[in-house]
Amino acid sequence: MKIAVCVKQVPATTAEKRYTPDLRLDRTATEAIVNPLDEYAIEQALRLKEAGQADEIVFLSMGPEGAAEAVRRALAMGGDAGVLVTDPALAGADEWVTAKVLAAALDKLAPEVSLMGMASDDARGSLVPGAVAAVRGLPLLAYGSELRLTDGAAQVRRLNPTGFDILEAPLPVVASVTDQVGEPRYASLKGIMAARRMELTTWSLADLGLEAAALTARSRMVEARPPATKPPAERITGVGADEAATRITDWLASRKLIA
Amino acid sequence: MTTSPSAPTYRLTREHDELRALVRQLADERIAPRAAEIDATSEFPWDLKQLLAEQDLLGTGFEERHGGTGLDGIGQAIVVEEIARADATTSLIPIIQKLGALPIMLAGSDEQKDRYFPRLATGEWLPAFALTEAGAGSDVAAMRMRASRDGDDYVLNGTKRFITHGSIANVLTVFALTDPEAGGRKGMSGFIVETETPGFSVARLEHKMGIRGSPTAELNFDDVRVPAANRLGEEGDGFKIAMATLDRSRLAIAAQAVGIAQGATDAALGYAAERRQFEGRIVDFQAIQFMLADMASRTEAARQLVYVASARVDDEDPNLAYWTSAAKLIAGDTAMQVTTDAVQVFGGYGYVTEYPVERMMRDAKITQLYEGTQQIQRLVIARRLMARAGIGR
Amino acid sequence: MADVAFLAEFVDGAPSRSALELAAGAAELAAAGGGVAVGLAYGPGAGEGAGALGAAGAGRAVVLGSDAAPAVTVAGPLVASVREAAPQAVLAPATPNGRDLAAILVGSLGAAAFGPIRAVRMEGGQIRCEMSTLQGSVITVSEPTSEAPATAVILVSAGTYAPREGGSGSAAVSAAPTEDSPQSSVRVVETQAETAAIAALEEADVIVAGGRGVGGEAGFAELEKLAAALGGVVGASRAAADAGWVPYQLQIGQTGKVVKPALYMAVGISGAIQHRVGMQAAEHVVAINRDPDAPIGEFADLFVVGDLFEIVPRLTAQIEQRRGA
Repeated sequence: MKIAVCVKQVPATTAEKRYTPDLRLDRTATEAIVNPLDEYAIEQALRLKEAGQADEIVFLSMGPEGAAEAVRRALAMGGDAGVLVTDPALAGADEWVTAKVLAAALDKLAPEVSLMGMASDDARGSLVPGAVAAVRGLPLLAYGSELRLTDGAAQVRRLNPTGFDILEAPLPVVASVTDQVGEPRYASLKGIMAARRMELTTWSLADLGLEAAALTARSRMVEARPPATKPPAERITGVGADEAATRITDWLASRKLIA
Repeated sequence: MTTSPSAPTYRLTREHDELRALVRQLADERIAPRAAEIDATSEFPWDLKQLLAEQDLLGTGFEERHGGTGLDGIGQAIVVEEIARADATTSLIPIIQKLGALPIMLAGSDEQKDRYFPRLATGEWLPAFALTEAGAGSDVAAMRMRASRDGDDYVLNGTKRFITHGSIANVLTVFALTDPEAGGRKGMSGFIVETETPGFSVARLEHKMGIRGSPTAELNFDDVRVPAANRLGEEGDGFKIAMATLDRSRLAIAAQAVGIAQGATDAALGYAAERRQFEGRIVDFQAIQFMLADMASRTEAARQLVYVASARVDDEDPNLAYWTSAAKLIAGDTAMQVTTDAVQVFGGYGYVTEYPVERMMRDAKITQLYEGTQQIQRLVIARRLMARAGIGR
Repeated sequence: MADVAFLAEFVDGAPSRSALELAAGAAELAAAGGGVAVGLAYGPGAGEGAGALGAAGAGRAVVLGSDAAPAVTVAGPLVASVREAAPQAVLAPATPNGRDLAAILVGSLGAAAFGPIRAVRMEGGQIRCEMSTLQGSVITVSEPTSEAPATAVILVSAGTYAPREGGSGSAAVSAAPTEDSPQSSVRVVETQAETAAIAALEEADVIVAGGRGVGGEAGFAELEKLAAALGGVVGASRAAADAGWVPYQLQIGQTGKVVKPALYMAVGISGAIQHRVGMQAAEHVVAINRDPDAPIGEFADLFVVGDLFEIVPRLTAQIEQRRGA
């Protein structure tokens, strides 16, 4: 039972360094990281292996050569092998091109489950998992808070308005999981050292039997601008609770948000 | 006559950066939030010991064939430094994991290493280093504990004091006099003692100024029987082994001190950026800026000295003791100075337990005291200076 | 072809709120080119209810399926219908069901994909989509390239369009071509009901959301009272859901619901970027937090530094009093 987990390398989020009564997280990383939501997919796959339900976990990424780092970071958490699809022609790929390429790579890897995170930090529609399923002609089990494997089938637990549904489809499937999977494990030092020594498989478009000319993006950005800045918040501070409640009520009334 | 050393060099690699990022993430997310509680309750953080063991951070000084990760000296220093930045008590866990095992690393047989290192590298067992006695601190040779030969065993009798982790260790490296007549320098031997052995007991724990979550124990040995197979090296080797151990282990304390200093500097900088007095942020006042600059640059100087010394130890430089002593001297004094200044930057808030710097200042003091007081370090350095310059004693 | 299609999810025989919103949006877009809105109806009772989409703005409707099967199982008829009708765009709700179907369309048609959009405009016969990307830090405008097929797939967040009011008329209804797809093999094997029906967050005008600072279920009970006084509903940050104080259905954020209320009260919520993404479109944001440095202070309209346990009950009392008076 092989699970292929797709991981994407995204820019690290930078945050201001702030003081709090306890030393707070210093997030000034300048390098790229594994898309945080992919870590849940990695964690889910590793748990299934630990439970004896999967025996091979392969990580797959599409990106520039530096994206090998993302594959190694995933391998540092666990797993057996890593594959990077890289080709200069793929710069600026949109959802459809990404789906076509990942689909071709997944067809080559032929796992029983192709697993992804539910969205990436820098993407918009989180459409890649479903598009991959369509290209590969496989059933889609998306937005699972848990992935389970049964005899010849996969199941996801998916939120509905009043609880959860268990959706099932016969293997092989394409699936995605949410952050409800549970906290991803830290990469251990031995994991990092082992991942550094592993040899990754690298595929170009030619290796996948794809023609760059046929993989043109279907959308392009024509403008990018910063959002309109909001004026700074009005602050109410240093007053008693009664006074605060009164001021909030007046504020709401002045904006006709209450009678 | 020159007293300056040949130019030692080292390089920080990408692996070092990755290691630092890994440990820092753990420290920020899991260790720092526990630091105040550990200090307030004086409870050993078993959960964090478990976490460090799981992340393979207790085996950094052990070889891969024993289950460790065999990091270089700088890597080991980085692990200690990044943990100490969040919490000095927790940083003692990897420190003592190495210190307790060092005598075996330096003088143990392969059989002894194979017997104990696998469990130590994984953190399954905790070690401790038992040298100090009530009457034998800086004056190690004034030791009184005895180890009398009896058939295939030695019988240990005496008391050790101020033993870090002595009460939670599974195995100790203990030093005792096998030949009291010959005195401490020639008559001391080293032993590996499992704490389950009958006759061993923990007499009491110290209540301390700082590193309060780290148990510091007085240990009683009452006819504790140790097989001769657990003796380290030959009879009489003990003093040499102990000194060789301290020559290396003091570097971990230096790394701890650097970490404490960095944590204090970061906290002071963050506070100064938020604190407003006289209609401005205090970080914009020159007086505060000058203090922060001194704190940061002195911490950096100490750090670089620790890395150079680590590289010297890895190279088995015959003068490594000079380097490790210098690093521990500078780093310990830097930590004390920087944490005191950090409290000053915080002003009145620095004095209250709601903010971390008063704890850091209390924690820093020990780095000037244990594993050789600053005065002992100065003696070591002076002697090496004189020896290198050909000046007789 | 100037028509604009839209996914119309049906619940218990009636069009869902998203169906009504998208109907209005699709009608607006289609009108610019002289086309009509085409409802692609699915879900329980879609067959009987599809005609009602006419009053919502649809010119005609196509029934993809009428049973309670997972939304993704209508993928086959959906793709076939879209190929046949070749509209210039398909609007899909930015919900898991909507995204599943939108993604299948993208993969099957090789379509240009956009969204979730803030606005769609027709400029010189060309679709232009405005989106908030990189977790709200950049606004981008994108369009299909010349290689894109005729139909663009556009995700639309709740609240982007307002349902038509006072519309009438029935839409002509046809059945979708039957087409098999691998998605037909997806089925529900078990349903676990855990909570009573929760008012849909995406439809609420007022949301009172609680975070880690609320401390537990008792705290959320106070937020319920405040929400009731304001005529709104309760939401939560991921931390509160992870802690088990509220069901995950109430989670707002990058991995939860995206909402666009007139008033969003963030109580005991620090305001991490992942939460902000879920509520940054709210018209008015009022935050109550005892940490003066909480990031939520940077994008709130009113930031109250104080103890929520003291302030919230008093606020509820004052608002109730005003209403009573």
